[in-house]
Amino acid sequence: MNVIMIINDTWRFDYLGYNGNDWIKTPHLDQLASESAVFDYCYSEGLPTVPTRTTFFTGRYTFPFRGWQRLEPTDILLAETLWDKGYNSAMITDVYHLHKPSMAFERGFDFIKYIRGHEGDPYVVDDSIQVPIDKYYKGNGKDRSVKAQLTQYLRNVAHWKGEEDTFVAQVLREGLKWLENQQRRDNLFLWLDCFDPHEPWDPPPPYNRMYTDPDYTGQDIIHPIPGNVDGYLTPEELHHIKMLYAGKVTLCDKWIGVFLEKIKDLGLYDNSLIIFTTDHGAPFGEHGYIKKSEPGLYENLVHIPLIVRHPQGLGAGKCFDALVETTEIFPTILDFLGVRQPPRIHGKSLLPLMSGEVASLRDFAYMGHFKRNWRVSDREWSFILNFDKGKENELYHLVKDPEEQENLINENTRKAMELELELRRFVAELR
Amino acid sequence: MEVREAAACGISQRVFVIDFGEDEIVDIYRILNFAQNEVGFFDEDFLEDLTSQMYYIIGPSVEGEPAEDMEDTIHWEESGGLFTLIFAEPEGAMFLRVLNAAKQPGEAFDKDLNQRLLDQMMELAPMQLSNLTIINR
Repeated sequence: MNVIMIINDTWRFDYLGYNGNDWIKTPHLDQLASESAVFDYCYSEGLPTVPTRTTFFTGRYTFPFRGWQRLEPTDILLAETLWDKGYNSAMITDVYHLHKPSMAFERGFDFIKYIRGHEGDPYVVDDSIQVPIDKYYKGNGKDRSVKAQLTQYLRNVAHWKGEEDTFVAQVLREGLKWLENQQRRDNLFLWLDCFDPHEPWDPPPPYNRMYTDPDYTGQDIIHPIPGNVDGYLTPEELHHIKMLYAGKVTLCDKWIGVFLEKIKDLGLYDNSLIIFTTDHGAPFGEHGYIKKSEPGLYENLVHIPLIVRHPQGLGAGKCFDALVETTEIFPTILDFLGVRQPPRIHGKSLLPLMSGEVASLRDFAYMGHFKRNWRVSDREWSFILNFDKGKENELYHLVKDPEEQENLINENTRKAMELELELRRFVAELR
Repeated sequence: MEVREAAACGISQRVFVIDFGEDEIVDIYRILNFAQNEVGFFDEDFLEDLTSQMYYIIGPSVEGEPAEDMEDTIHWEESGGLFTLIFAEPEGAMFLRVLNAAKQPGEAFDKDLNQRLLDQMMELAPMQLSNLTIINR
């Protein structure tokens, strides 16, 4: 048996056809979802990019303990747990944060391929390469780094000829190449971590005009400056940015489809546990800001898609409303492979849920940004405990107010207190 | 002592931290104080290690020109005996200039910024810093 993990960074829960979005095209993931266990209430535990990978690789909560940082030498990692169990493992990724000096997230994998050049990755250092920065950049008068980052990105991708060169295509093609090269198509553990559809939102044709307004005459702002929307972007520009993002989502779906078709040819589709998820979503001005300039723990960031396709059809075609978290990935993979869990894992295997053995794993989902804010939620309420000076705590009724626009912290103090106590109790008991 | 990237995704500026243990806070205080007042001594190897890590972890921007109208975010925090200097990427260049002034007295740096950091350190670690030979004893 094999495990194939597909992560696509920054994929909003509501930008998927199978989750009820009736205008976005994600036919390949919709198809995969129809044959898989789909988790409707999956939450990202530690935000953003790097802490989420730490959670995936350790099965432990990060938000009370650590933020954006390298792995600790004492961490017991998923790939290392499989190191002496007869598995051949590979990580293929373009998430350059994992490859920065001292980060070393490749620990434990037998094969590693870093695809360089996404976002601000200082990969192409040739200053003589001229890039059309003015075509894609909109400043706000205070920007210190986004212009430089976008210039770097445009240099990195200046040699691209078409869709096959995009990062998501490169990562998934490299994954296929690794699978094809395996003489034994069993006991394989492939970790594909695609940074797309993360910004810059520059999908190639036809994706770049798939959803945009044909009457829009403004710029393609592919890497907006994180911060307040008001005073920076017009409503038309904001809409255009969202549609460029949607185009990149469809591009990713297309290449996931190419990947899944090919692994069918390789005979791996029906003897592999296939997992698709993301690390977080993307704020597009719902609370006044774009990107992750504020550490908001709102649904648009923390509520994430999770699809698990079991080769024996466990949970196939079912949607589960149990609360689950990114901590669950590690124990689920080990449970599937029949490998004993290391001690002190916080997550729980999803397999008992998928088989119908249990109906739920937890009463609440917990998540946060280290030292900035924590959140606890069930399917009805979310409570956010803010640590930033002067920022009040937040309480939202997720059923009546799914966009989390009306903070009820002063109206329903009893519920807020109940959830705050639950959150503090949970963190205090974590070891 | 360790220089680390602490935030980088979807925000306007990368954030870095430098962690100093309880014994190391004295070393960095002596360096900043020497840059400011040219009084006392400091561990040259410690300074070399710190600047090397800054070049390695932050990258080429640490050698750039500090912007003039920069938002001031650099500050110290203490937690459980660990002292942490937190700063946005452009401030890394300003801090490196302070360190370079300790290596080569006379080099230009932001004296007000350095004094603020020294004052904050004294507030956070009076036990360790208020009785140092030559500087204040």
